[in-house]
Order: sequence, then structure tokens, then C-alpha cells
Amino acid sequence: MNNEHARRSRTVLIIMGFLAVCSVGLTWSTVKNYLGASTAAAKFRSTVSAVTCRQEDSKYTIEIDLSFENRSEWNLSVTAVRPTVYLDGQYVWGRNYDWLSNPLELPGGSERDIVLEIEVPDTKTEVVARGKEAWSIRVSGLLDMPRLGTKLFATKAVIPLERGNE
Amino acid sequence: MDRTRTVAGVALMGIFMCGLFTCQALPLLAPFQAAQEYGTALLFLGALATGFLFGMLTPSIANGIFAGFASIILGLVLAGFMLALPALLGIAGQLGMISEVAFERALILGIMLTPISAVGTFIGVLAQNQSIRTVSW
Repeated sequence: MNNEHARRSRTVLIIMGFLAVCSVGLTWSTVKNYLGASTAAAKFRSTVSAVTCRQEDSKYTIEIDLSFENRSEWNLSVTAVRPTVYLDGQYVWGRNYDWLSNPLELPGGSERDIVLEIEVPDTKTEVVARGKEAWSIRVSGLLDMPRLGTKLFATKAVIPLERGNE
Repeated sequence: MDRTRTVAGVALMGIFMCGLFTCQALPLLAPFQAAQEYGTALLFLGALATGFLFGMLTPSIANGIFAGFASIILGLVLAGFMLALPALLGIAGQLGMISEVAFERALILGIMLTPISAVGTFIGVLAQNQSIRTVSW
């Protein structure tokens, strides 16, 4: 009876070992593809190149020059972007750009520059008017990638402000 | 001796479940068409097989269910480590490769798979008892 139990346990452990070995092969193959895809994905870059603040009729508009660079071979597309502006470490305002229905296409090896506009609400005009030049911008967004799906990207920049027609 | 076998079984089936979890999380990167299309079904079958094998390995149902649960958790932890590899190796660039949604989905799957593994354990224990009865006769 004990011999029977030991024999069965050994057989079960052998089956488990076989399944584990097969699974290691499967994992290795998938993870290798995943690392390859991630390396390609890392060739995407977004950079904030300039920030401009315009004043029209006591209303402030902040313009953020954002450039996308896709050095990978894949065609990527940006489906959403959210720029957020901070002044002297204090949150000023943000805005959501949703391009899900019409994504910003980034073919392989391409670069693209866009300008994002944020209208500062009346409640924050005082903050902008009193603020110094320590502006920092955070841009996050969603990148649609082949095989990997949608991934979040984020970039931060501390940029000297160009005051427009103030 | 039984405990050593159970621990070895948990380690082996944890590795097995890790492969299925990884394929389920990254279906388009899986090497086989079947893994791409039926990743979730394979995961459920894997949990059932895990429970069944523990039912055959351990003498008690409670131990089998606990071992199945431990394997699923180990598989989840290992798969989480695999998914976080680009971030850990520093090759993710500006992209966030670990998403909270994936973590929550894995947790829900882990909770759903435990009862399935328990069903497998019941079947395994029944099969074990059946074979003992056959040998005794």
C-alpha cells in the first residue's frame, strides 16, 4: 500500500516536473518577445521643448511645445495626452486631450511637434501673475503599440518661461 | 516526506502556472497560436490540472486545496516579476510597463482560479481513492 502511494507520488511529481519544464520554455519564449518589444518601445520619446505664456484681456493661455520622436521601426499612435502645469511647485492647471477617435500617428522613424494649449481659469490668474519663472510641466499620455497594447508614458520638464504679449 | 513532496509540487506547479499567467497577460507575444487565442481557457485548465495533481499527491483534500492555492499565488508572483522585467532592467524608457489594471486583473484571476483548483483536487482525491480500492480488490 505504501509502495503504491510512493510510486504514485513519484509519477505525479514527474508529470509536474514535465509541465514545469514545458512552462519554462513557454515563459522564456514569451518573455524574450516581451523584452524585444519593450526595447523597441523604449525608442519612443516625448520632450517638452518650450513653454509660452500669453495674456489676452486679463486671461492667460499657456502653450506647451511638445515633440514626439519614434526611433523604432513600429508605427505608433498617441491616443491621449494630459499636460499639467506647476508654478513655483504649485499646481496651476491641466487639460485632457483625447484623440481616441483620431489618434496622433507616429510612423516608424518619424518625429512630430505639436502645441498644447491650456487656458488658465480666472481662479488661477493671480497665481500665474504672481508666479516667478520656476515653471515645471508634466505631460502624461497613452501610447498605442502593436503587440503590447496601450501603455502609459510620462515626461517632466523644468523650462524657463517665455512670456508672450504680457 | 509528504511535506517535502508537497513543497516540491508547489514549486513545480507555481512555475507551470507562471507560464500560463505570462501567456495570458501577453497573448500577442506568446509563441503559439493556441496560447494567443485560448490563453484564459488554458489558464483555467491549468488550474484544474494543478488541483488534480495535488489531489493525487496529497492524502487530504485540505492540503491539496492549500497547495493548489499556494501554486497559483507563486505563479502570480513569478508572472508579476516577468512582467516587471523591462522596468527592473531599465529598458522601459518613458513608458510605464507595470499597470495597476494588470495587477488587479491577475488578483481577480487568482481568486477565481482557487475554487477551480479545489474542484481539481476533489477529482484527484476521488481518483486516488478509486485507484486504492482497485488495488485492494
